[in-house]
Amino acid sequence: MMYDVCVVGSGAGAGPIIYELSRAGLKVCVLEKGDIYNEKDFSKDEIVVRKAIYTPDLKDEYHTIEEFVDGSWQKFPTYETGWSFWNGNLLGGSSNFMSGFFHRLKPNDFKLASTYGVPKNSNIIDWAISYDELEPYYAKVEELVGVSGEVQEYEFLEPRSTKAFPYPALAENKIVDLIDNSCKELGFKSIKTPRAIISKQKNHRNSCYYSNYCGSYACSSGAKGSSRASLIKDALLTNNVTIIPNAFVIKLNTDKNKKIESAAYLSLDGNKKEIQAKLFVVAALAVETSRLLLNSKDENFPNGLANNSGNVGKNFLSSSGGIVSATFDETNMNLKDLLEAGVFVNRSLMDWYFTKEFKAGTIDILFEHANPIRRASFLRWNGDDLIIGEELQNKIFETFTKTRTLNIEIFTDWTPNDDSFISVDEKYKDKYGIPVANIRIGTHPQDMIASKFLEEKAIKLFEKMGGKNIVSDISTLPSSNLQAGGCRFGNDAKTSVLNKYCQAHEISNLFVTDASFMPTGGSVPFTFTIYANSFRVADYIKDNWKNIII
Amino acid sequence: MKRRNFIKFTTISAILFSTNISIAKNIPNETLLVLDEVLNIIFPKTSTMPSAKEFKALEYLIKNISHKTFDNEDKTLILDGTKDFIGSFPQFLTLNEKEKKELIFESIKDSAYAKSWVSKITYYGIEAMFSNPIYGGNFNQIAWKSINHAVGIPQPLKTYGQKI
Repeated sequence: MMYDVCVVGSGAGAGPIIYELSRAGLKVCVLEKGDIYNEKDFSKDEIVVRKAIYTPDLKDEYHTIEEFVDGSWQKFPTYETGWSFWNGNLLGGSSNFMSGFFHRLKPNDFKLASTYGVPKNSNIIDWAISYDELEPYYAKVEELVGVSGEVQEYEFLEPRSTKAFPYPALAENKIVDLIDNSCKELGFKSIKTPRAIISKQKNHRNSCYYSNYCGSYACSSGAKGSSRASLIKDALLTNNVTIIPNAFVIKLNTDKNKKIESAAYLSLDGNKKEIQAKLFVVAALAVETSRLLLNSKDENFPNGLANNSGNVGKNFLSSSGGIVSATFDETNMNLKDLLEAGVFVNRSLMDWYFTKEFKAGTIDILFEHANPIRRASFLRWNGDDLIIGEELQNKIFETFTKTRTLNIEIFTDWTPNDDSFISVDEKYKDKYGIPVANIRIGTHPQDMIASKFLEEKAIKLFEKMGGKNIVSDISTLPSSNLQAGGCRFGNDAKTSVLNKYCQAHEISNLFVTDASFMPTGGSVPFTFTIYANSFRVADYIKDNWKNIII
Repeated sequence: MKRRNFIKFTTISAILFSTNISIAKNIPNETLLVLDEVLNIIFPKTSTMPSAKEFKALEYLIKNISHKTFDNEDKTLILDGTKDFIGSFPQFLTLNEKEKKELIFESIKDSAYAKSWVSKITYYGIEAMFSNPIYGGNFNQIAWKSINHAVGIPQPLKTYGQKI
């Protein structure tokens, strides 16, 4: 069968495409690497999140991470370290597991080079579109995917076409009073964190029920705005969507006209199959998207698909920053209130998103995850000393019954540079014999400057709140759940892979709609912007369908 | 064999009998006995927390050590480490409780290998303590109850994310 559209992946970059194009009457085939799960399959299992259940076993399918060690770049397979860059192989992808911190990018994020100039040894460029072009789609995501919160004035609040979020803010732990009062005393402005979690029912999706295990866990009520729950389920009602699960796409094949004619994939039993379509949309998560294009070599594209310009894989982005944590107890507030489970903290500080001198970033505040295994496992250490016996047991009891840890997550821009890219290397192959993605993770010095700047603010806030055991872990290592870049969009085919509509410059029936298109990532998690951009691209495809598939 | 050890062997056999995990059945009884002792030294009963025996740490380990998601290097460290420990201290099981405890505490101070081995057993003891009882540990939610833990809802009906 010839489909109208073949979508590789089903996460945040794919969901809007599947939703919009199927509703427009196009026949859409989705090739998802993982299985299909439904709300009833998800539970709050303490073990599952600590194992490779929704991601491949790294011994079978891994990446290599290229780090600068002893004066040279060296590759380390992730099966040696357990540092997984897979984020969720299942219908809906990693959007099932996100925390759903949905901050929009700010207008100046779209013109960072113009605003701050281009630092030496960086590849910062302005975006091919402005904030105004994306704004209607942010509003659409807030409505369709569902964002809860409260619009509050602050210096860098972005212009909005709607006055309020469609869903009221989620319930909060009383520690927010301590945060807000401390911020006020410091002259900081705390705002409620917008969340992609609905606070009231929407059709088949139930409202948030405060499960107590939210981030890292798939949602059992459909309240979390995963691509699966918020878009694909509705798209399936059109009867225009075919989902092929456990389909690992290994190559896109082109015809004599240099257009893609088919996607080759491996089924669960390892058999090679093909799907034909008029148009192909790749949204496999940035690292895997570049890998697929680079591995799709043929006579038309000897360096990989859409890569005759040599740009595929370049300018990989993540987020710099880290975590500052502090412990609170009954000396800070009523213990019963402090230990109240389920409800959120939902506070962010964006006072320093932009400074006069440089771009800083975002501070998000949240409790340490409620899964006790991770928390308790840290308690066995006191520095390098291993604690066992009665001392360990008492430490576990005292920590869990009398304290709670608050984390400040710091998000700063990852400055694109020549030493941050995705490539493939024939020497490193997965169990199917397919070259794996290599990720060189070189960072720019500016990222650490911005991170340390925000670290100081975070520590000040915790000190004002009376937090104890303030511990800081600031790093420019990438967050493996935040992947972007590799297929930049832009107006110049010599320096970018995609045009401003995320259509490949070199292949008219190829679009890329995950975070790969982003030239800079902003200082917030990417998912909101991925969704918004994918809706924008879907509109372009709908409006120009006949011209595109000629 | 001393009567106390004989009783313990009987207990271990009961655990093994209750599981269908073939690799667990291949673990020598002496290894299991030592692991049981070490887990109880790491997690003794206190006025507030249950002992490893009470939350069934060994049963958890036996039931899960052969699962495909159990880290192979961890499995090797736990089993080979125990074998090596027995090789170094063949008299361990015959010592009294105080002597056993002192030996373990001394070992982790003196040997990086022993520290690494005990640390890994401690980690999996914590998994046994705070995982859902369907995995074989946290018997009757005893550890959750001890710390008044608010569990996530819904709790799993099947292990390892199997679909319903």
